Amino acid sequence: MKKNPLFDKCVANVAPEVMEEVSLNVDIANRISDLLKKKRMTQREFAALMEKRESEISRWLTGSHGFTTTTIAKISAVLGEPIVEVKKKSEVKYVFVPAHSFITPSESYDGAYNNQAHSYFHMTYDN
Amino acid sequence: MPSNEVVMGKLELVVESDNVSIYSPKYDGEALTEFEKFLFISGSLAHPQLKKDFDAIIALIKKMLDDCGARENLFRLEGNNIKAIPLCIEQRRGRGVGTLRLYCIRISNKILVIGNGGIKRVRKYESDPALLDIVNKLRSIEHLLFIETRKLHTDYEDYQKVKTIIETITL
Repeated sequence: MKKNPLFDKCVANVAPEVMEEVSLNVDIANRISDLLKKKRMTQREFAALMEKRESEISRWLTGSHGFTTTTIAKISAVLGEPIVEVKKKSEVKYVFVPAHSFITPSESYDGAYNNQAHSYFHMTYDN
Repeated sequence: MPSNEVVMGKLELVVESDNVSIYSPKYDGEALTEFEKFLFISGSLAHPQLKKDFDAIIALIKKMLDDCGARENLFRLEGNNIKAIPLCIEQRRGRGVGTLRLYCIRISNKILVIGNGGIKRVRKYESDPALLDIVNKLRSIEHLLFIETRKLHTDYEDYQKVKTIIETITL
């Protein structure tokens, strides 16, 4: 992997919000492009469904367009799949794992180790 | 440097990641590659809109390096396989400000050859001698790469073979 100090310096001078905006626009453009391929839909067909000019769709796919939520919603409706997803508040979930615990002689009636009690322990995770 | 002069050069690897390898022409007797010359113009961009154009172009190249590679949909076709990296942040422009353009040859998702760029103040780059010279140089390079690729009975999707051609070709 090769780095370039001059390029790295230029990157360091770009405001974080510009980096984020470009990244988001490109992610949306790539997502639309992938969905068009998946659905075997041409840009012309998509443009007709979106009621836009084909040249505008072409520009959208380059990532050089800042999308409004209204446009994203319409694209999503036309293509039948979500374009962007917003992370929701995480919810604690439990996984129950069966476990065997042996009863010690002091706890058992017969003084032996051969009694078992079936129980579960649980682990939590955030989605 | 007018394109009718005979100048030798090579394609130099400028920056590389797991997602994309970026090359740029470097001509004999010059200290910088064409892409590095473009990177140097940022200091001379007085207009804030052009500075924003520059930052958007840098951010897009960084995104390709870090994440998605040189996907075809991200380029604007300028004819004969020459692409321009478009602007990612659109602004209503004042008259005469122009837009910053960076020209390149997209070989595949994993290989990009970036040339120089400049401020486009005319409707078509063909009307600007400096931009036309940049595009014509890239066209010659693309033609050479195409011929060499054909000689090896391969295509641009063969990453290793194309990389070898690029790293050994004389411009």
